[in-house]
Amino acid sequence: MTGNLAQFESGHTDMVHDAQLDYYGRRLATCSSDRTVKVFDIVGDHHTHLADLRGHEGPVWQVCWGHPKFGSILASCSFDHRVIVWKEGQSNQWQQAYITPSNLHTASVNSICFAPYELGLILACASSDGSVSLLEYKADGTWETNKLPAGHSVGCTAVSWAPAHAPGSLVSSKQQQAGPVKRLVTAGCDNLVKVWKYGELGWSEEESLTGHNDWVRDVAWAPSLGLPKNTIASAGQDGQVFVWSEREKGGWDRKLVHDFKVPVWRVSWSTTGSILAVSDGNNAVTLWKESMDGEWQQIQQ
Amino acid sequence: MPYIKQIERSAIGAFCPHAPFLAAGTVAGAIDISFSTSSVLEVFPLDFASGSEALVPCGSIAAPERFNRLAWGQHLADPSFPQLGLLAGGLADGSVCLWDPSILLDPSAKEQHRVPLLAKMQKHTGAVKGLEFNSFSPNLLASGAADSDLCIWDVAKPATPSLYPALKGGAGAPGQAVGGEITYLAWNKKVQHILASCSTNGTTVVWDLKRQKPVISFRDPNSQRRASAIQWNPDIATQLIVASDDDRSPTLQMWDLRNSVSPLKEFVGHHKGVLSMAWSPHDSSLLLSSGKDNRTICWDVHSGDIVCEFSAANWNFDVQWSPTIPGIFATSSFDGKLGVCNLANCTGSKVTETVNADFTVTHSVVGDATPLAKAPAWMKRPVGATFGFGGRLVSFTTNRTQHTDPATGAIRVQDSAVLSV
Repeated sequence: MTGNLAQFESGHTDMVHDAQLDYYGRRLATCSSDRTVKVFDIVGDHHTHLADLRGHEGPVWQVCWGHPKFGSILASCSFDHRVIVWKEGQSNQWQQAYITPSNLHTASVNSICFAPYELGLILACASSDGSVSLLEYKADGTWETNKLPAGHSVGCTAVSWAPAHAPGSLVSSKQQQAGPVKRLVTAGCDNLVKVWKYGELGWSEEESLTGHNDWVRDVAWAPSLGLPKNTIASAGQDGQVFVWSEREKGGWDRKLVHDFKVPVWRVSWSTTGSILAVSDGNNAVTLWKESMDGEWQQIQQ
Repeated sequence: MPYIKQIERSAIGAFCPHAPFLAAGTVAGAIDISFSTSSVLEVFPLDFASGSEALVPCGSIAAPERFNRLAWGQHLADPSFPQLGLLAGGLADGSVCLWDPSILLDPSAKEQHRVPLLAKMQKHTGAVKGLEFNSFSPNLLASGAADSDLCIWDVAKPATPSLYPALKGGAGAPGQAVGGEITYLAWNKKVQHILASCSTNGTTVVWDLKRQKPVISFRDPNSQRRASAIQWNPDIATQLIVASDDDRSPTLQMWDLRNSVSPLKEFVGHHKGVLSMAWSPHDSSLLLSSGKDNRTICWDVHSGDIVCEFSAANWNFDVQWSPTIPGIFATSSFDGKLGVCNLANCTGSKVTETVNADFTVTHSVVGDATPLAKAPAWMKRPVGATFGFGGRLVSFTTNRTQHTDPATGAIRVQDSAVLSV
């Protein structure tokens, strides 16, 4: 799976803060404190630098690819309070399709995440001003901005969408839900993980999960494909990584994956939702899998 | 700059190193409109989730005198030691008082006749203006006073603190190194037994406690400026910054003890004397300073630029970083406010200078609030791995390399990243 690693220098002139493969795994986007976003072509072990996207006026924290159904779309968020949506017109010609207004967020935007394509082209943005905004592309070509009713005091660090189909709905015979699910999870400097749901009355906070005792650095909702229930992973400055699973009658169970003793910066699920990649402050990336008895164990890379 | 929390009092603040609490002690040298001379020590819970801006104390006690310094030390492993550490106050009458904040916060303590005030240590004869716990051994408390005496206390048993033998070469001794009133003292952040104190005659003295005597002393060769505050560099053990409350020389001077003839560099920005400084424990390139020009300035120590600044209506006499939450700091001013701010909410803005008819200079903020020029280190994710299609994992790590500039000899740190797919 990750047997033969192709390693290469990023070419960025400062720290890199995120790297994401697109839907097909053919292109790689990276972003950095040098204020640029770079796009690479990845074929097997070979990489080709395709483009430099310039426009941010501060370190760029995170990038996110849009679903190919909407064309070739990439979003980036930055310390400069802005989110830029980039669109590839002709091959390798990237343009700014949208840039958020200066009053949308009054502090650094730390994390972005595109919603499942079934919901449309919607981007969730988490900011150090504590709020979470939603940018939705409308049929008339404009972008509509909304905000979640509340956020995280001191600042919001990460956001992740729930899969559009509830776990088990693909295999279960009875139709559980009418439409796609519209839920997301956020993490913040108040040491909390919050689950949000879109209902008839708009967005509301569904659950506030406690367990971390320092900033929660990242949160990731697992893909529904391989798992029987809703699952979220969260990683904290306190070194703890938790996996939260939703009970059938509501509420969440917490399970400690591991205490890394150093800040954990990133958690990411494999596309089947069975393996969790954890990036910790020792510059180490480890892979974790749930064993038959429900304990999380590190697997060899 | 809006405060996210504030206390309507002129008080010295101190953050709890363990829990979200802020202590405040009535500052000496100021009087409110009722001419009250009372002094109170209060502890406030820092609940950022609540919307209200005003903080409500969850414990308070009258203090024997007003405060020049307030310090909150870490707790020791000893179970009989106060759970939340110790609060130490340097008072205007020369005493150093120790309080147990956990008794102060316990509502049932009064019925059990437990008193928060553990000890009142009377050794100094002048106002205590230097006070700091050692961060390596929190049972060591250093105090320095206007009588130019320097004391090291062992507070492992807070009810019966003991005093270490007096340091040689102090006041009154031949070859007296201190002389003037001690205005501030600070423990070295890298070496446990090194302490620096500064005084009104402008001399900064570095003490070695193992040898019980001063190892070096220096002063600005070009002026008689008083020294008002010092801060050690958290990264480089031999560097410290000295501030002066002298209005004619309001710069911050960075000294390196390897060459104590003249300062390494100066930070120019304050228009009037500087009263307080705080070096960020979470990002060693950020330093706060505040002063008589009513401003609190956050500096980028590496470039010498101002990251952000804001003003109050009166002298800003005290500034403190939160030791637990990155980016949170407290600043006190004589207009009766102790405010808690978040660096993430601070914005840079274009400031224009206009010269008035009487040649005074007015600074006004124009245009939109802009993002800060520099992102703090605690926001920079150094490592990450994300899964892509087909279980492909892409990861990045940071390599830090040092380059020495051949022309200037300055050391530049270059970050680069390695990607693996």
